[in-house]
Amino acid sequence: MARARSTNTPRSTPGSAERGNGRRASKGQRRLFALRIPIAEEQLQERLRPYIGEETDADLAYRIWQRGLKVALAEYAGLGMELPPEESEDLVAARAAQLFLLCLPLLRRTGKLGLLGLEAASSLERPPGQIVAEEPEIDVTSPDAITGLGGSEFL
Amino acid sequence: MQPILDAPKGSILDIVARAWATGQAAAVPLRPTVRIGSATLIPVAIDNGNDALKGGVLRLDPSQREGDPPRSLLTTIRIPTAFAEAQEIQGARETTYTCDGVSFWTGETALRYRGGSLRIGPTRQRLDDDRQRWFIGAGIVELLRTAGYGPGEYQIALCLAVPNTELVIEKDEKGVEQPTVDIRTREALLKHLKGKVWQLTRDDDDRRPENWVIKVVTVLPLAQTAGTVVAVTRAPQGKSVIDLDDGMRVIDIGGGDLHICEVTFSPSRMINRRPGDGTIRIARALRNDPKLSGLIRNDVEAQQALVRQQVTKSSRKVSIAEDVARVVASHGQAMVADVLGELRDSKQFVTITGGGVLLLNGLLTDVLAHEEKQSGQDYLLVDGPLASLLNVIGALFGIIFKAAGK
Repeated sequence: MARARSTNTPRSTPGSAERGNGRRASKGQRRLFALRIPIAEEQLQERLRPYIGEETDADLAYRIWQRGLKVALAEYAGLGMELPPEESEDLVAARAAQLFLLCLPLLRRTGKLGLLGLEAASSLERPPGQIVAEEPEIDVTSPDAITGLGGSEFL
Repeated sequence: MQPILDAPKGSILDIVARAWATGQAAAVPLRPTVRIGSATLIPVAIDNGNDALKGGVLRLDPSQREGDPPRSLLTTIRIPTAFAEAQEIQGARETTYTCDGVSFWTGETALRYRGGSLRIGPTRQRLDDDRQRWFIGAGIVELLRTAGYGPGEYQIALCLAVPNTELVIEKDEKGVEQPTVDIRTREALLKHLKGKVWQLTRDDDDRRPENWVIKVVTVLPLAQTAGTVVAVTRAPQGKSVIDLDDGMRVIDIGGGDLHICEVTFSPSRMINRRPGDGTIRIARALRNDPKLSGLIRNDVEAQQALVRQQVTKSSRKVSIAEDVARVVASHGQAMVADVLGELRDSKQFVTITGGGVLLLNGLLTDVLAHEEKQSGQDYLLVDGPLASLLNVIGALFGIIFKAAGK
């Protein structure tokens, strides 16, 4: 119940999001405050950098923040938070589902699908340690054949 | 309607042609994703031709039951290479994309509003144009959407079909000579596509804006014609289905170019020639036809007029089937002569493909019927919708095969 109440009362005032100089503001954009984060979390962010591929610290932080925002929106919309007119429950749910889909391979490999409480989860799971190949078997000669046709490397 | 072809049995081309001939989606025993490093990505193939962008992707078969081996359905799209900045419309809304603060229409919608052609030429020149990159991003969204993916964030492995002429032979790390993209194309792909994130909003008459984020994690450039070779010679899981000791000659009648590509497999070689323009030479003749003066403004409209055999005049759709037949009969003969010369001259198995086949089909089938060489045995004419989509379908399987070797 405490969480449900919190959805009706924003945790920070609108003005707090405009302080600081975390991101350069341009037309149609607002400034966000600079974040103080523990070194351990900063190190995690560095590990993500090659995969997320943003050039600046601010852009990288923004991309991570944006994902968190999508999850938070879905979380609190589920608890009854009123959405702005340009959003809809369908839209918010679809975006959250896409993020969730990206996590499925790890959940499967580690046997954690059951934690989600989905009805069919147990039949989708594999025991931990029993990793099944992600791809069906592709003929071993075919990668070289593609190389020979000009597909020499992934950029 | 897609006709059944004399394609090698079990080849990707054979499977797709048979499925499409019965009005069904082609199903293949593959997952719709690939693993590259630690990432699971959706493989997407794009053939950004002068006349149209063609795209291909797989989607897990929704009818698949739990415990069944993986099965995916192939989805393809073709979007005319036309672009227009969106205008305010009162009434029914057109499908509109917004990217980097610019709202625009593509394809058929852009053509309806007198949109312009996009830049043609080498990959580096095309990708240097913002509109071209927005167009490709919107095309990928349209492809994923057509396949049944919902709005959201997707990480893709992009196989881009590049003109054959942008390939060079270089030694790989083992000292073996291999065809690879030239340095300028490679730099353009690294600059404009590798790591590219498109944040697009798609809006249509349903008035429910969709937000799409497409991130290109990796790019595999592949010669356009390679797609045809893959689709004709390989099964969906990569097994070779035809022994061609001396390789294959591909005659690709595209919108912009007529390409001849001689491929040998051992050692790997691609020899490319460009005997002349593709169907654009017929399209330009149609555009400059005195009878149609002022009705066709640019190359992309001319290409579409050729395919649709109609133009808009004073708000009315007017059939120009007779004019198209006349122009194809006169200006198409030169292309047919080029194709026949290449076929007769070849000691290799010949595959004739490309969107231009549809246009020249009447002329081509007439003359091929009198050739000594036998369809299926000596050559293969890829007809029907597959003609313009074969390269991108093969490119899609190409990136899946290549990823399996990572």
